[in-house]
Amino acid sequence: MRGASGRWLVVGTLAVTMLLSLSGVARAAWPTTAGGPMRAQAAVMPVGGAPVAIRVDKKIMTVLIPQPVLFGSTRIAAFDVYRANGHQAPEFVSLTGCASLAATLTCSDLTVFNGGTYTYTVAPRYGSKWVGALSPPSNSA
Amino acid sequence: MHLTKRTLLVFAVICTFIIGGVAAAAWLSTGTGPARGQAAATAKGLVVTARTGPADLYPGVTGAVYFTVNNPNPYAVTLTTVAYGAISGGKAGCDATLVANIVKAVAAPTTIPAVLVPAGATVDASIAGALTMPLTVADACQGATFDIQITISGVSS
Repeated sequence: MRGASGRWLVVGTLAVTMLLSLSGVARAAWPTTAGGPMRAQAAVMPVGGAPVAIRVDKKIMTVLIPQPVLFGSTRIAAFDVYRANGHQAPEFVSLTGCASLAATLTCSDLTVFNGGTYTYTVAPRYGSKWVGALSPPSNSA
Repeated sequence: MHLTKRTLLVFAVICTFIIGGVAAAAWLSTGTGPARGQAAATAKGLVVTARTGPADLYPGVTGAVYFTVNNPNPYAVTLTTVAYGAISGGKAGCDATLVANIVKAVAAPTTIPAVLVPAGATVDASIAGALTMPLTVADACQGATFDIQITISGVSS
């Protein structure tokens, strides 16, 4: 009787061992590979608020941007400035200190004519080539 | 059959080693899988498609890429690695093949934070720091969409 129970013990142990072996193989990791596209989206430059024009004297105008323009988390530090005389089309102001409104966000236009009435618009610039849309026009001064 | 306690003890130790060995073999598997043709025939490839995420690329910045992955298999998959291919897309005046406009980031990750895709599920995912937009990027690239081909790998989990 003791011998028979011993045999069953051996057989049972072997059976359990085989089951555990099979279940262990079934848990093996199964590799997977797939191909396809991923997508990235470029931002668009922001549009700043209208600048403020202040006539200093007959031939000098100060242009300032009252609020900083943020591009992502970066503050825009350069602007293209355009000036319009009356109803004429805006022209790029490139020969005075207003060509770029750097950290102070203000500069002086030294090329205005005595008696003229001017408005200014600005476009933010970023990197070496990105330029945003023109702002609304400033007040007339 | 007469079995002493010593014999049973030795037998139990042997069984323990066998079980342990099998368990270790499964753990150390690199994913080539058991030699079962039946199971291999049912495995289906993941389906990766591009999706549009936040517009976070601008000059001098490294941005993320976004995608959706579908797992048609009856088991979950964990994505772990990625390899990058060609960049396409852009728009008029913004050639996506020019390195002056868009490039794969120097430190683009090849090992990604594990993305678990449950069985039969579709998951939105992204990989940060994959593409760089140089400062020289063309003005026309504002708002452009870029696609980059990838091969993504993972294991069942």
